[in-house]
Amino acid sequence: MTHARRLTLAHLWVAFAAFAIAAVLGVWQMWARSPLPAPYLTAQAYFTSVTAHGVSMAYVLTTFMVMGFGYYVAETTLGRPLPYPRLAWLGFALGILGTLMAAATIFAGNATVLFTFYPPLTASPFFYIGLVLVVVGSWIWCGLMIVAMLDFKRVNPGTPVPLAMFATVANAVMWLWTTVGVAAELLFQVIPAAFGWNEAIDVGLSRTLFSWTLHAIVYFWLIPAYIAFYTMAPQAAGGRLYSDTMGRLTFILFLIYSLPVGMHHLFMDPQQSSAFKFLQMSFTALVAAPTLLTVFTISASMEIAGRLRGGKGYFGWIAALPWDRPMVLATGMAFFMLWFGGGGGLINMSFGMNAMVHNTSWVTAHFHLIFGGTVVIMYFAIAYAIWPTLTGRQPASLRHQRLQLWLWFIGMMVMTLPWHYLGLQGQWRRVATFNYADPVIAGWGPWVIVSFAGGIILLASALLFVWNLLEFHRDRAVVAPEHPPIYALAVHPPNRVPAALNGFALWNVLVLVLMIAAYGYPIAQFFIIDAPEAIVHRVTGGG
Amino acid sequence: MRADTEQDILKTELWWTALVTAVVTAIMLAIIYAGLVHHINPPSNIETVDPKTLHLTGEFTEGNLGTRVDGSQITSRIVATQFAFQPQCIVMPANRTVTLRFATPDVIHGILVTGTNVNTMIIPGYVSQVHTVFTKTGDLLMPCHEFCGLGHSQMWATVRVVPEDEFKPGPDGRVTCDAR
Amino acid sequence: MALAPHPNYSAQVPPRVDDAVDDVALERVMREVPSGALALSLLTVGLLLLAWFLMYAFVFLPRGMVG
Repeated sequence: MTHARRLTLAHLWVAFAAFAIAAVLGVWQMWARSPLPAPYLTAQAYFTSVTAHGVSMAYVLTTFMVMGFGYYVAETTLGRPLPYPRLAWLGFALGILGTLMAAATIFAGNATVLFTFYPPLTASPFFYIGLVLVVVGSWIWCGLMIVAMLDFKRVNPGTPVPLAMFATVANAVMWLWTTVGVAAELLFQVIPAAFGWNEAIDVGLSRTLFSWTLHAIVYFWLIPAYIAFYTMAPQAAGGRLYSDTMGRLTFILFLIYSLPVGMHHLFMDPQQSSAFKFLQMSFTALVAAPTLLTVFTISASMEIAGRLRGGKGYFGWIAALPWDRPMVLATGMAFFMLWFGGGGGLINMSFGMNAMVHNTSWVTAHFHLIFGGTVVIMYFAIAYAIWPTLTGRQPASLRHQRLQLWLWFIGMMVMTLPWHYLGLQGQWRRVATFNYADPVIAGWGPWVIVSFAGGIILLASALLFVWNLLEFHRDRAVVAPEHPPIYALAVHPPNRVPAALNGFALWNVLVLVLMIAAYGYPIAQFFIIDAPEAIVHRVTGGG
Repeated sequence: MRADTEQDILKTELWWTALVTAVVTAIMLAIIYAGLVHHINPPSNIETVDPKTLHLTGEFTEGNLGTRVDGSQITSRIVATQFAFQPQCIVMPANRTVTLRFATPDVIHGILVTGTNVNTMIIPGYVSQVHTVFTKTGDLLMPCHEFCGLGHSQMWATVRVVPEDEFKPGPDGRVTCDAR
Repeated sequence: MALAPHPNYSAQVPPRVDDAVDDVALERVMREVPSGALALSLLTVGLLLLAWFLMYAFVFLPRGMVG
């Protein structure tokens, strides 16, 4: 096992351990909100659990997954050793230390602020410092990915950076931009307040800075799934990637348009003007483009595989695909869930239409479908695809892998479809219990129980996933003689690509211009209008 | 459609991009139409108020809260605090343009009114303002929809929408749930 | 910084592993691709647009003006 493989395994096991714990908490939270009597239910326990669930799923699972998979991609696509492996381990250690610090404050009851930690509610300062350490660890990863790509380009002048690596570096560059907003909020506003150095805080500014991070962060989580769509799924299906150029363009579009759009999370906020909300909505409409382009390009890539396997007609190629392969199955399910999740997202971003669903269960349903559904099911597929090369063992049972994917898909649909409906009825987010004696709320009860059943299916799937991975590490696992290639070739593999499609210098300039246009005045206004500050409310001490 | 070279493929992709652009444009036009013709826009008044003195002076002092008719203007002022609204119930006439104004002295809250497009965050430092017309009569639920602390789940208010002819302000222009 | 190639890998980069796809077969199917993808994408994006407009017309607009 080479160095980067140990590194990858370490990162991914941390990611999936956090995932498994968070899955248990999530099911209990749904139980708490349902009309059925749940054990251990207090407000303190509930919001502690929601905070831990959100932090584990959104920060720990994702960051460690992105980092671990990035190291894997760098090593396997560039054909070179990873630069500075010691720094990579330092990033890992910082991430672990930060995660433990945050976890300790959460479970001590000193950080019941949920994973969005909106001030002026403030947690123990060590909660935020923990999160900052995780981010600093990921910054090291960003630097290593960029250095690995530059080294490759120096040694191989004129050779296109392999698409999987190009996308990984796009994500690293995007993440550096993304974290600026939340880093500024934490370092200049929240952490000083949490330590007691400030007694008041400009909440309008902090929400605006957080929104800077809030949308692009979900693309940080999502890009590994898109890397699998473009570079792994066509190969798994026995086909070719339809267009390597479109892959590059898609990841460039993500880099550009996932950043100046965060204000669509603030549509219902009183401290920003309609003009900037509208501007950022327009950019948000543009970020739908890379996803819709991907739908077509990946469909075409799968169509190649289906037709090579004898599929005919407009739709016959779909039935001809090898659905028994976990990567192919997961890709199909991911796109199915993307239809619902993306459709819901189109409604969320639609300016005035956001009022219909803002902060209701609809939104919870949307991001569970897109992230928990589309993205996480591809995390599973990636794990199943790379674990044989990481461990040198064959999977114990493809049937168990397929069963796990089906359970996840069904559970996610059963859980989130009722949430969409309830959200439209006005069921609001982030409450521990509902007053089912209220006649309006009483009618929601049965649907909440249905979604709870979906949650139980998801938990079963989560546990089976961990079991499936553990099987690789057992002594009885069969040693794999050799590993088939996991990255797809393009129909027309690129020999040379323009510099703009082989690096990010130009695109960083464009991001800067767009960010100044989109966020320059919305941030500056808080220093111009001299906004009144809010008194800091500390939750430290379990109260 | 040819696919002999990458250029051929990109030509096909360009057609698809044009179609995607058309789809997104259709949605944008519908949104602009809803904003301009139906007046459905996000609440964005950027009006500041000092949370530290909110309850001591000005518009959001206790005696001034609730629904009040002033000429043709019907306005309800509500303070959101941890973990209750003041007042807990407001009266609104059906089929009239009304204004809801919210402020908070403590942390972030938010409200929605079930079955309507009424939805806003309530951010300390700002007045949140929503104009709307309620069309259905009855008691509507107005919960706090942003986590504001451990008592968040118990924080909600009622919007009592009454037929226009039953909406009778007292001599001071005020209408309360108790009076009915 | 190690610039020497890793011993486990050939200096040949990127590692171009040939897949199992036969060039003649590929050329044959590429005469039909992407008609099926276009059909599928048109159908799904069309349904998506339809769903959006149904929500817009029958849920959103009836809920009335705000702003």
